[in-house]
Amino acid sequence: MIDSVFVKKAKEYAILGLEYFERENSGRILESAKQNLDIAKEITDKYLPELSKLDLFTKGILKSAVGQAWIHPFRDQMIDTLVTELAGREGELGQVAREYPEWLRDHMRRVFNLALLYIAREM
Amino acid sequence: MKGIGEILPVNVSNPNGEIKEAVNTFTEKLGELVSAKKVTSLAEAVRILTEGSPENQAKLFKDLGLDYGSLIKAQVEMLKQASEQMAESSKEKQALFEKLVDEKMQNRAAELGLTKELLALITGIQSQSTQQVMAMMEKLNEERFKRLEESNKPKEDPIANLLMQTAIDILKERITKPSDQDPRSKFQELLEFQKLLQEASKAFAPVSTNNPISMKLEEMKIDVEREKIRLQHELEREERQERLKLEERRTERLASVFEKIAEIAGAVLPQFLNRSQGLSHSAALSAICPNCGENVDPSKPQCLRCGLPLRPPIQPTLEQRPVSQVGGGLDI
Repeated sequence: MIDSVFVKKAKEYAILGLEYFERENSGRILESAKQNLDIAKEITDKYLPELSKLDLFTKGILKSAVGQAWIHPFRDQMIDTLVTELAGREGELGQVAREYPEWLRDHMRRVFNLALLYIAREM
Repeated sequence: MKGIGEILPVNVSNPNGEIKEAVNTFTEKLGELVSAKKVTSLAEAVRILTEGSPENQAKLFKDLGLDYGSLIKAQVEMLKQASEQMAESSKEKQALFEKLVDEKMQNRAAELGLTKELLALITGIQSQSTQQVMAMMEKLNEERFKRLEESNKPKEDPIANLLMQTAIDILKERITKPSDQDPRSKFQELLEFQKLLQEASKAFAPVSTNNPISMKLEEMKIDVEREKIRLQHELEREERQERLKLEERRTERLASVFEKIAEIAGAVLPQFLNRSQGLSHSAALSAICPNCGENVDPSKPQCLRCGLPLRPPIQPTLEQRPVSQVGGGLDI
């Protein structure tokens, strides 16, 4: 089930988002993880509005998935897979996933939650 | 003024040194025009020469210092020279040359008592592209108009007339013969050719059985019209097929979208059906703190992480309130 299209796509977008944040705010993730700072709100405020730029079809799919399906059980599985995958990488994201997995897991979980809220209520 | 025949290159199958030189001189002349900014480029000059309107061509010839009216004559002269040289060349070339001339042309030449030079002329036209033949016909028309206007010139030019007849024959054969040419471009070519035929008809009017060219032109008009209708049908059929293909592709795309949706639905549906095992969906969403994204306990009034109040404090129901708050005990 974890390899389903939905999870695959969600993982793809999550990685894209993280990579983008890493590029745009070099060192910020690692520094925040070291100091145990909460940047979930900052990330969501900055990037969730970007979801509204998606085409109508994709928006419809997302809204329908969030509105009708029970997708919470995916969240934790998906986050675990993502953290494991990122830990095998070079660079800032890889280092954070290896050294501060709990911090990353906690942020991912809350960003995912906020994304669900945004899709259900704002889009 | 320098005669055009001295410098203007013509399309011959076996250009010799002199012609090459003429081509060079002509190219140089065109280069001068480009330098003087009378034309934008050499390619543009060539385009005017081959495809340009008679007015533009006349202007170009004027800029080159050439006599536009003598163009056809010059071409004929050049072709004659070329054919003479070809006739004098080796036997092998001669055989090759003879092979190139088809039977129909040979018969016509024999009927008209033509020399090999004129036969070569005809072969020269045959090796040209349809566009070039049409351009030549256009020039022949103009030449004829001029002849009709200028009283000092003989009314008919047998060589020009022969060229015209040959050009019509060649085009008729090419137009009516089935080919691999794209129907759209062929249709476009037909439209252009139809215009040219109208002009040519004016030049050779009135239609009479004594005038082979005018008769040929009339036959040609009918052939062209017939071919146009055939092509129109072919194009319509192609368009219908393209539309069908487009619809098929659209259906395929739609099918793949539905497939994807089904795939997604297939992935999430089992979880959806198992929702009774956990919180209801709306309850799950309301159990997310909108400020920090933390999962909150619905029974708690505020988020334990950021302290955001989640709902107004719940007022106890009437039954739950102490009697003292209800109104001082039983009010009977």
